[in-house]
Amino acid sequence: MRARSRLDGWMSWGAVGLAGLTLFGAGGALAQTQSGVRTGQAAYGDWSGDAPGVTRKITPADLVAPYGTPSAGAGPSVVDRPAGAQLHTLPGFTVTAFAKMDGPRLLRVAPNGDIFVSETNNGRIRVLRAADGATTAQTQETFADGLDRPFGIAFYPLGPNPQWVYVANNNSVVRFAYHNGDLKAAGPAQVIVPRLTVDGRGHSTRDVAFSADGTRMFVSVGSGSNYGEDIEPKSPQDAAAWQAGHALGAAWGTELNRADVLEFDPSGQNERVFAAGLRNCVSLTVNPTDHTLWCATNERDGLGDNVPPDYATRVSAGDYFGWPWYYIGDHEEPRLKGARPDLAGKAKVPDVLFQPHSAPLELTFYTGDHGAAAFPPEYRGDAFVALHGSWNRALRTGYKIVRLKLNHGVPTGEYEDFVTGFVVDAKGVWGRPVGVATAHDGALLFTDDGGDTLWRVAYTEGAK
Amino acid sequence: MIRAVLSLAVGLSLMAAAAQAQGPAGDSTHGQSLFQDRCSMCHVLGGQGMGPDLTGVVGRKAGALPGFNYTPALIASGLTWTPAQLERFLTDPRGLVPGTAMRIKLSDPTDRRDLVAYLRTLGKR
Repeated sequence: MRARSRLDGWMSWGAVGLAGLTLFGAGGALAQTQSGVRTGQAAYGDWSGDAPGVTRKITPADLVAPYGTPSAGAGPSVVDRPAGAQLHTLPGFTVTAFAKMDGPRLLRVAPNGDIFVSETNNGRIRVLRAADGATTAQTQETFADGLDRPFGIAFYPLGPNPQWVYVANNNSVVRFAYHNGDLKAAGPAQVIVPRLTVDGRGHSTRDVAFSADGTRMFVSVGSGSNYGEDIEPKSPQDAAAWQAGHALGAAWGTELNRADVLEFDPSGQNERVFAAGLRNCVSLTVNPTDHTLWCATNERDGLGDNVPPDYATRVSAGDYFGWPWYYIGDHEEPRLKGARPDLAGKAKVPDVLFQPHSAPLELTFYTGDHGAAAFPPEYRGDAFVALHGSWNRALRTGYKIVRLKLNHGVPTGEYEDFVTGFVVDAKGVWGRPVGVATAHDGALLFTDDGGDTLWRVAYTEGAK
Repeated sequence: MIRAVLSLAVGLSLMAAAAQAQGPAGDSTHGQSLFQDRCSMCHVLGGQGMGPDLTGVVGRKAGALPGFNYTPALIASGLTWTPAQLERFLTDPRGLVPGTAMRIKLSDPTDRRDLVAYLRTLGKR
């Protein structure tokens, strides 16, 4: 029975791969677009069916049962860019290497256009500068160093003249005094939140964002473990007692205040849980259009190739997204069966489901409305997400930049491949997207910590 | 087989001697804590992860664990993971092996020594 279902799985993979190849042969992006949205099992696919314009929509009804395939150990071998390898994007756009860096991660653009990038493993924040329309960076400096695995970056107050650059380290939030144009922090780090987690272990990235009115600071903290295996079980009575005094779905022990979005005053005071059950909300962003808070979240491993989807979602106060006891709504984690019957039916379904194990890292809203490289108006208000790429899946997913479609701020659940081409073959990749942001001139920038490159996507069709 | 075991034993005792020559053997308890902090999200002992299983890594040839998808850079490095090489690698992985996917650096020499002391306790796979 098991062998049979596996064979069926392989046959459907073959069909998806073949469809992808056919579309490629039929002339690229246009044909892909005309083929319509991939849904259901066809949406899962893998890298071989990716191409700019390919659009997917995965819904909770498409979820497959856990353990349909073995848990894969298929991490990528990061190779040098093969001769002739190119990134692919939609007609009218051009993607070029903007700067070489060393392990570039999250990316945020300051109000004056300077480009801030965390180099997490070097413990530093870099800042780059380029004239509008320039295809390469002219300046690259170290804004701050000696930090403990810095990742998230935010400018505060909001608006054209921030006075601080906030940095989310592995287990603290600090800030540096800042004036537009500073290429080096004017003073030492000021500690805003001295400690985020009990032990700093497990998922190590943190992000920081401010509410649109500037009164609240959000910090995302991923879980310490995969599916809560380190959480000491509680009896139903004890769990209910815990729940009564905490945010819906909040975990305890070493997972206390983890798999959460935390909320503080901008001074770092008055910590509370804003939303829970987000296994690893790697990036936090406020949609500039409607001021909703968004998370790009990595779901759990070990349940098989096609379950569960990773996701991007709007997050509201008091939301619970299931981790560790449930996933994608009311799907119970099989390794924690029966542990939290009180949370059945309580987990919110996320807005946009990605191919399982895609590893969505940074999410950004496209804000370019003028400038030498600005995208056509239909891109405004949509979001882009950098998918770092899978390891816990036999056939690779991710390793691309995707566009999330929104309709007046409401996500449709559809996402479209926007930049593809990093996967070489079943074993090798030559790049891994991490950060993504809109540049001052309307280009879309993204970091790649596989190929140590900051990339720039410009709309060039409209260039005069 | 016996020869392999013998040469392994000789190799290990040589490595132990080398480590002794460098100074104290390191605090493997602190090393275990560092491992949990900095390594365990990618390196799952006895299991699958983003990085290779480090059980028995000390004395192993770099890029040699069957079934793991190593970078060509690591396979071509020709390194053998002696304690000293592991400490060099942990100082700056991409400095020693440009192109490796391993990114974690330990800047404190005591941390490196303690971590390697812990890796040495992990035995054979």
